[in-house]
Amino acid sequence: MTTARVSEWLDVGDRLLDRQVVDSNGRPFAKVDDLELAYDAEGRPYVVAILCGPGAIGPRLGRRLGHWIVAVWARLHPAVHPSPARIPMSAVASIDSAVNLSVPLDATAAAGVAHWVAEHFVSLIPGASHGE
Amino acid sequence: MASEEDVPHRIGDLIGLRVTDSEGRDLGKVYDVRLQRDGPELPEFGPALRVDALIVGRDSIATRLGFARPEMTGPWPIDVWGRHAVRRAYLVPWESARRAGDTLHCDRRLEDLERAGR
Repeated sequence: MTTARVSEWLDVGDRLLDRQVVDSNGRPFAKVDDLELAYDAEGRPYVVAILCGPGAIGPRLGRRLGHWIVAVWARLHPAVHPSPARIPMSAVASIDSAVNLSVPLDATAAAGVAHWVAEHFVSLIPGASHGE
Repeated sequence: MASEEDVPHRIGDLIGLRVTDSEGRDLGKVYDVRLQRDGPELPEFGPALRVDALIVGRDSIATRLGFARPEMTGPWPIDVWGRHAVRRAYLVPWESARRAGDTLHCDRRLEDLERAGR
């Protein structure tokens, strides 16, 4: 069994939140917007997944801006009840200045968000196709 | 944590909550969360990152800019500023915190809490 290269302790704000997520091909594609928690048998929380995208950053920001981000995202999202892109911790190979995954982007749920943003927003920007 | 709806499902649910000590004194807000790598075994990852403590204090500009980080070094005024911010931050152990709405009640006295700096 492989084990991710992660320090024995870390502070979330310093070392995880807003850090770049990089896939196994070295491609940066998202930021860590929030972390999903689960609970062990003793009721202690632990991190099970990285959450990315507007559905994760909106609630974290809170207030009017956060609610607005979530509302726009939910309105434009093809799903009736959308949920944020979720990358399980089992896909994390290491955490250093970035969060490095052991899998390519297309193997993660965040791929759908990345492609959707590229299709609906980035492609509409004049000159966006020049980089392809 | 008190009721099901008070149980946080994301780290973001914890950030910004106000914290009081066992005597009702205001400790400030949660501005960071310390994780310890001793949680349940996750496939391919190993021991999960478990919520060990909440870092609580007055959310100063120094902490927002990262000057309170232990590894942050720089010109002496920044070092002094960062150390001062860390001195004012407390580690509230997860097991000592009980949530009620937007407030966390710590069952320990302010004087018994460890400082956040390492």
